[in-house]
Parts: sequence; C-alpha cells; structure tokens
Amino acid sequence: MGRFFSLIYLCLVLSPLLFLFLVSGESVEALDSLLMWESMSNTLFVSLAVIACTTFFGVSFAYSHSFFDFPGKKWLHILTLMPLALPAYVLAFVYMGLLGPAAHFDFYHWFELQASRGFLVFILSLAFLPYIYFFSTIGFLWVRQSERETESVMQAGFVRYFRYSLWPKIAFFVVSGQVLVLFETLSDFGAASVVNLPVITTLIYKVWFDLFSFTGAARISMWFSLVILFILGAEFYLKSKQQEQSDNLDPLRAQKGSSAFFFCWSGLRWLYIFAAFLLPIVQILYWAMPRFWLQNWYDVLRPAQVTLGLGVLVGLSVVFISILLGFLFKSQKSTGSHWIVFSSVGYGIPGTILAVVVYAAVVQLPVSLNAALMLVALGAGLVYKFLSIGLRPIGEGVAQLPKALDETSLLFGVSWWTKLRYYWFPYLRGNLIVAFLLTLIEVMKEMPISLMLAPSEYPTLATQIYNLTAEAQWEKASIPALVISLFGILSVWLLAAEKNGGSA
Amino acid sequence: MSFIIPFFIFALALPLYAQSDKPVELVLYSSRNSDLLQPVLKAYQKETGVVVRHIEGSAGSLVQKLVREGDKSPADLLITVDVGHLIHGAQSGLLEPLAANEMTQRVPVHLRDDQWQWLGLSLRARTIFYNKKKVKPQELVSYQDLAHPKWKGRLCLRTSRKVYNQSLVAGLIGRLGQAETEKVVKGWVSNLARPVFTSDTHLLEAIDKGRCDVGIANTYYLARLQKKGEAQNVGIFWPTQDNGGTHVNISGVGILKTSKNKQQALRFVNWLVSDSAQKVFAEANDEYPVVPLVPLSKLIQSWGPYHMDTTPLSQIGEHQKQAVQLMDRARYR
Repeated sequence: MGRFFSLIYLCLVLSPLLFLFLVSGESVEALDSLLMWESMSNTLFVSLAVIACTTFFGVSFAYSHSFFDFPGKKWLHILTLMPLALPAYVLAFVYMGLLGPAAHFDFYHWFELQASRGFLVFILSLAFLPYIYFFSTIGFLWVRQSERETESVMQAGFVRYFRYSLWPKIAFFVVSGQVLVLFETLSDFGAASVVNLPVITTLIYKVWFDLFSFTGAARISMWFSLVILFILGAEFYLKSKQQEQSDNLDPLRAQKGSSAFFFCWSGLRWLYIFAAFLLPIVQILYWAMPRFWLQNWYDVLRPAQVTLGLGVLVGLSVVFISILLGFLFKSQKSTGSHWIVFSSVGYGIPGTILAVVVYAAVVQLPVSLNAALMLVALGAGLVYKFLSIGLRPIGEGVAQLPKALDETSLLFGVSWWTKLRYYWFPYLRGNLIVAFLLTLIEVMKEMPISLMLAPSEYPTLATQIYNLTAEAQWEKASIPALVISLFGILSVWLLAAEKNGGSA
Repeated sequence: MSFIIPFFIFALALPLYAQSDKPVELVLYSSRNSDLLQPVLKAYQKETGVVVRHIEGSAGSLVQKLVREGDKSPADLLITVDVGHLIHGAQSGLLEPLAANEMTQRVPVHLRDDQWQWLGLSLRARTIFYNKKKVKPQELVSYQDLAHPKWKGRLCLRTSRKVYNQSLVAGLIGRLGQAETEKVVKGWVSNLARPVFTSDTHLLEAIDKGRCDVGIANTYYLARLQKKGEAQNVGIFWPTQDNGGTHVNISGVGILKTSKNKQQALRFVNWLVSDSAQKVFAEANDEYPVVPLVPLSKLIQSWGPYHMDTTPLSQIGEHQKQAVQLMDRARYR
C-alpha cells in the first residue's frame, strides 16, 4: 500500500516532465549553436560562482553570528535575512539604474554591467546569500562547546577545527541551502533579462517567442529538467548518507566578540546588508517618493491586493497539502525523506515552462477559459512550484514527531482529526508558520508563471514590474517594487521572530 | 502576532470584492502598454458605451496563448506594438480577414496586410540619433553606414532581443539580402562603444551624456525625454532618404477568427482609424498616426518631415526569423 501510494505521488509530481517529453519533438536547429553553448556556459558559470560566493560568505556570517556575542545580535540576524524580501530582479534593476549606462557617474568605464557574468553573479549572490546563512546558523546549533574547548587546548588551528569538527556538523544544512540557491539561480529569468546575459531560461524564452518554436523550447526545458532531477538525486543520496544527530545537550556558548576576525566579518556583514538591502530600499524610495502624489493608487493597490491574496491562498494550500502528505506518509510508515525530495521537481522547473504545462492542461478542460479558471490554474502552478518550500520545514517537523504520540493515539483509538488537532498541530505550529511565510514570500516575488497565467483582472505586482522595467521605467517600477519589498520585509521579520522564538 | 491572522484574511478577501462590475463587450489582447491604451479605450467607451476589456502581455506570449486557447479564447482582437507578431498571428491562422471598407482603406497599402488580416494603427519610426557636440549630421548616411570603421567605438545599440531591432534587421534583409545584412550587423557589433543596452531610453541618455556618439532608437523615446527637458544634446537624423526611406514599424490590430463579436470588433477597428481616435492613439505615445493628414503634435513637427520606407511591412514579417538567427550568428546580443 505504501509503495502504491508513493508511486501515485511520484507520477503526479513528475507528470509535467512527462508532458514536456510528449510535446518536445522538433529539433532546435534554428538556434545558433554558439548562442546555445554561450547560454549553457553562462548558466554553469553563474550557478557555480553564486554557490561559491553565497557559501563562503553565508557560512562565514553564520559562524561569526553563532560563535560571538555582541550588542544588537538579534537585530543583525534579522537584517542579514532581510534581502530575502527583495526579488533578484528588483536588485538587478536598482543596480542597473544606479550604475548602468544612464547613471550620473560613469561606472561603465570600469564595470560593464550589461551582459556581464560578474554582475549577474553579484546580484544573485546578494539575493540568495540568506538561504545559506539561515541554514548554516541552524547547522551551528549542533556544534558542541566541549569539542570547541578541546580544539582550543590542542591548539589545532582554525582550518583543522573547521574541517574535522565543524564541517561534518553543518555540511547537511549547508548543502540544503546550496540546493535552494542552485534552484533559484537556475530558475532566474528576471535578473538575467535585466542584465541581458543569455542563460538557459532566457534561451527558452527566445526559442519560444522569437523563433516561434514551442516544441523546441519544450525540448530544451526537458533536458534542463533532467539536470534538475539529477541534482535532486544527488541531494537525496547525500541526505541518505547523513547520520542522525542526537539532541545537542552541550550547545555553544558564544564568546564576547573582540577579535580581529570578529570585527572583520562584522564589517563585511554590514557591507553586505548595505549592498543587498539598505541601498536598494533607499534607491527605491528615492525613485518612488516624487511619484507618491502623481500615482494613480488604484493601479498599485489592485495588484497589491491580488498578490497578497494569491500569496495567502497558495501559502495555505501548500501548508494544507504538506500536512496531508505528511499525515498519509506517516500513517504508511514511510521514511518520508524521498517525498520531500521529489516535490522539489516543481521548484526546479523554470516558471515559464511550468506555466505552459499548466496552460496546455487547462485548455483541455471542457469549460470556457474565464478569469476564475485561470486564477485556479495560476494557483495550481504556484502550488506545484513552491510545494517543496513548505514541505521541507513541515516534513522535517513530521519526521521529528515523537513516536509516543502515534502510539498513544493508537491506544486510545482517536480519530484522525483529533490526532491532527490535538497532537500534530501543537507540535508543528512553528514549522507551519515558517512554511506559510516562506511560501508567501516566494509567491509574491514570482514572475514568469504570473506573467503567463494571471488574468487581466488580477494583475500582480511582479507582472507590473516586468512591463515597466522592459522599457527601463525604473521610477514607475519602484512603486510596485516598494510594495513587494514591504510585504517581504514583514514576512521575513515574522519568520525571523518565529525562529528566534525557538518554536520551530 | 495576533493581528497577523485578521490581516491576512482581510487581504485574502480584498481581490474577491474588487472585481469590476462593468459589462464587458469586447476583449482585447494587447502588448501595448496599458497606460497608452487606456485613454483610447476610455474615449471609445465614452463615445459608444462599449466596454473593452484589455488583457496585457508580451506579444509572443499572447500569440502562444491564443494558439493554445483555440476556440475557447475569450479574445476578440489582438493589438501588438510590432508587425512581426501580427504576421506570426496571421501565419498561425489566428486572424480573420477584415472587411475592407471606407475606414480601413484610409490606412496606406504598405501599412496593412494584403489579405486584410491586420492593419497599422500608429507608426513607429526607428531612426538614427547622434550627439550634437560630437557628430555633424552630414557625417550620417544610412543604417548600413554605421557599420563603417569610422564609427568604431562610437556606436550604441539596444539588445537584439527587442523586437524593434529584429524588424529593422528583417527590413534590411529584404532590401540588401542576407549576406550583405550579415556584414552590416557584424560591422555594427565591431563598432559598439559599449555592450548593448536593454532600453532605448538608456541609449539616448548615453548619447546625451557623450558616452556614445550615435545610436538607433524609436523616436517616441526621445519625445519622452524632451518633454522632461532632457536629452538636449541629442539630434535626430532621418537615414536613407534618397534610397529607400527610414525604417518604420507599426502598432497594429487584427480581429481574431474565434471572436464571438466580429461585427462589434470591426466597428472598434473602424473607429480606431478615424481622425479623432488616431489623434488620441498616436499622441498617447508621441507616435505618428497611420492615416495621412491627421495633425501631428508640435513636438513631432519640430523634428521635421521624413520619407519612410514604403516596402510592404508584410515582407518584414517574412524575414523576422532569419533576422533573429542572423543576429545570433553576428553575436549581436
């Protein structure tokens, strides 16, 4: 029964890939091979460079946060997470406006931002670093104080201490963060478009809309999705190798931060916060302020309502489905980790292609394509895309549920609802809130699926930004960007507060 | 945190009540910016009482959407800001031939499909701009001439991803042939002062600041800057006046085969080429009206008259795909 259920779940999760396989038939001979290789090499270079940058700085920031105590530590932690509130494409257009060809200062003589790999790496690293930082801080919770003192007595040196004591403890968490960063980088369309660097997602768009070959685009997407599957397989393998860690009864006691190392990394951390959050927000406000009185606010409020409403609906759906899956797999006595891994397929598929798959499915239905149906299709696409975002925290929570809970409920013969209501929900409360907020942030920032599927009566902030930035109207785009940022800041603050509360 | 739940419930409920209660009579898929289209749609509603619902998106995605929707499409009309996508829509069997009548015949022959599947609504001239302090207009000749080594390190271009450049190159292929056009585009790329821009506005600002000497852009981008008192150093030059004319593109319209309101849609198209609508449509974005003798705005008049390329636009569409491939080969990104 358990295997049968897993098989059905696997088929559902992989069905879009099957669809891509069925519709992709035409070769992409029309495409210049140089452009193909350039897009692939850019994607590979940018992905590896972003992972390297975010890992180096993310782990270092998490180390200095976990090992040292200093005034305002809690606030600095929240500020380091704040760049999650800003979509990468907003960062890209802010920096393009600040340093681009029309900027007051001609940075162009030193830095060529357009079509620059380095610039895209810079933008995506700023945007995605908090993922590694966040996961690494959790990883450092497993480091024991006694081990640190032993290493100190032995005078083994930092490199040896990190290599043999710290890394085994945090590797699992860092890899989880790296997978998220990799998916975000591979799926990025908006920032690469602003920078005008050919990558795989922009190539798919080009084949589809400029060379008018949907089947060619589907063919590239299919191969791209297989790469995603390979990455997921590698993650699954690494997770299966991870040894279970018992509760850490000897957590680190942070030292007072006074060393040169601490001051150096604190300075770099403030520099990061400035570049990834404070400067963009100030620039957005600078552009937005003069428009406050000119703006037709209905044009902003309506997309803001739609975006938030959509985020809440999708967030609740993801939480509901995640609990349901957790409950079903738990009752089938499944180990659980593989269903979380497979749900990540949607997260890895570029939004543009996912939108086509959903759309092609919707038009097969024997009903008219009204706005309500398109909203449902949009919601379904977003739930599929972001299921793993919610599933990961909830899945981890379900895996850690005490066995005694199940045994007690079995003993008393309680109904499934009572079991959920009185046993599961109190234990998983923190995980549910984290899952909901993470999904909400991602939905609000999402661009390609909304571009393709949102009915005109329901414009989102991201689609509004796309239309304005396509014509370099940064000032106009700053208003919807500001609204997304404010929603994002509130969500990240709640997320950080929830994590600080320690209930997750 | 207790305020959070009511806040989210409130947010959830907002989109539900905020639906429009106006009766919709025509559905328009359009890649033209909403800000530019709204004045036209409002004027039509005021004059006729007919409500036109506007669905905005990129032209490519709208055509794909129409292909996927088939008979179930709610759309009656398609408006694009480039002829290439209209031709692609016609080639995909999406467009219904319009009934030629007194109104639609006001549009010059080269700005409409010979099968009447689409017609232009406004003209978008893509011409050469130069920095007045660095370049004399006498130095400029044609688009092809910008490939000459004398412009090395002085030329700026917008990305080849933009359909306007794809149509410009498609037009050159029609006029010069593929091999010659490829030489021209390669020359452009080797003359670039900077990597390609993502917007015409940035390009014109860079010319104004002297960071580029010459560049190619649509005229209405200059109008936007000049209205703000900017781009004072930018001059406009009409190329190829003795031999072919300046490249023009259109923002155009087609009626969809799947439309359930074809008569109503045709009435709307007829209205769009009337004098009053042409003025509103073109002036919203400082474009040129397609119907001759419709008065131009003062700003556009100040740029002086020009000869446009009268090669039928339908020929540009035929070379659009070739143009994309050619620009890829020339490493014009």
